[in-house]
Amino acid sequence: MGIATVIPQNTFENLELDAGALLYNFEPENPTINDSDIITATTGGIKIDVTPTYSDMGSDVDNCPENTKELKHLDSWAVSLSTTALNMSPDFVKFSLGAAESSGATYSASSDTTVQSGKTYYTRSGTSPNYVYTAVSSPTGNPSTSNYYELTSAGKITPRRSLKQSDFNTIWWVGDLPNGSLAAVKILNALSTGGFSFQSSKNSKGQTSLTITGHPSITAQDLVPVEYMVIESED
Amino acid sequence: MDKFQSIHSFWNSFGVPAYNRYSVPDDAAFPYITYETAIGSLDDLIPLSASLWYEGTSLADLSRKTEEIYDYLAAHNPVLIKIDNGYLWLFKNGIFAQDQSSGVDNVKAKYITIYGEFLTQ
Repeated sequence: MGIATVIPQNTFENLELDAGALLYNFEPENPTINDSDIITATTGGIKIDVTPTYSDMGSDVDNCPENTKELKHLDSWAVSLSTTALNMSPDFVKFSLGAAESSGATYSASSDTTVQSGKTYYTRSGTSPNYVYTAVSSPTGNPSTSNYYELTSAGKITPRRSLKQSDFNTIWWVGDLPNGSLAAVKILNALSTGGFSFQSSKNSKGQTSLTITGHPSITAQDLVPVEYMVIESED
Repeated sequence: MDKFQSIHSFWNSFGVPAYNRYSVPDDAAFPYITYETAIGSLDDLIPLSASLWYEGTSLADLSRKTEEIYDYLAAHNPVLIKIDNGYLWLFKNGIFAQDQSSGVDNVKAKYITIYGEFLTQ
């Protein structure tokens, strides 16, 4: 075998496996993933682009060769993440719209004294303002004394005509490496800039295109809004 | 652990004995797993099939064990087995399990297909 037919010894330790996860929150110091931190299920993997834009300051200089390194100028970085999501929840649709408002569903305690056929009753758990309402599969007894609730107003998501600074958030992509380590990309000031683009199809799952862009901030103008890190396994 | 040993190790990790399909002892007692071996290297997608064999008229235990293997692959994704100079990466891809004829009335079987890629040269 020729001497150049080689690969680095650590090739297999550095392979990223599977699609990874898109997260609202992630702490590299405590690398666990809670279900509530996962933004969405995806299909077809996740694409991350961090692309520089350069100018050749010597392009209009007579006799100057093109692309001389001394006159190459780094103008900016474009940070984006794109994927296809399998998710039609209100929270995700609001996230994908970027600038949007949500009005949550409202519930009230049931005043029914007997279960009404065809009506859906809910139980409530958690604490205010983050109550969780769960449909009762087989309601029985007296709903008014069984802590049953009824849906009084369905929630809705509406795009907003203006952008708020609170629409920007940090998001993470985290992927597995073979030795138990994790690869992570943190995108700062992330905003979904592709809008809500949904496609349904016969005998298949509806899909939503998602494009997220990272943004620098006027308060930290030299900070490129992306970080890459490897979190080593403790095993 | 070499590549063949890694396949043997995986199928033997579910609480029932597992044998190479072509090397089942004459006195092997049910239930057991028979598996096929194939090896390759990086970028080779390798089907690694196995059969679960249970004696009896009920499918309950057979189905339970089949789901246990399915759930393990789902819960531990990516499933990686450390081997000499790399890893064996195991995953589901497409149909996971289907009924299989045992040819014997009192023996039930399931045919399982998973896939592997040897992350090695």
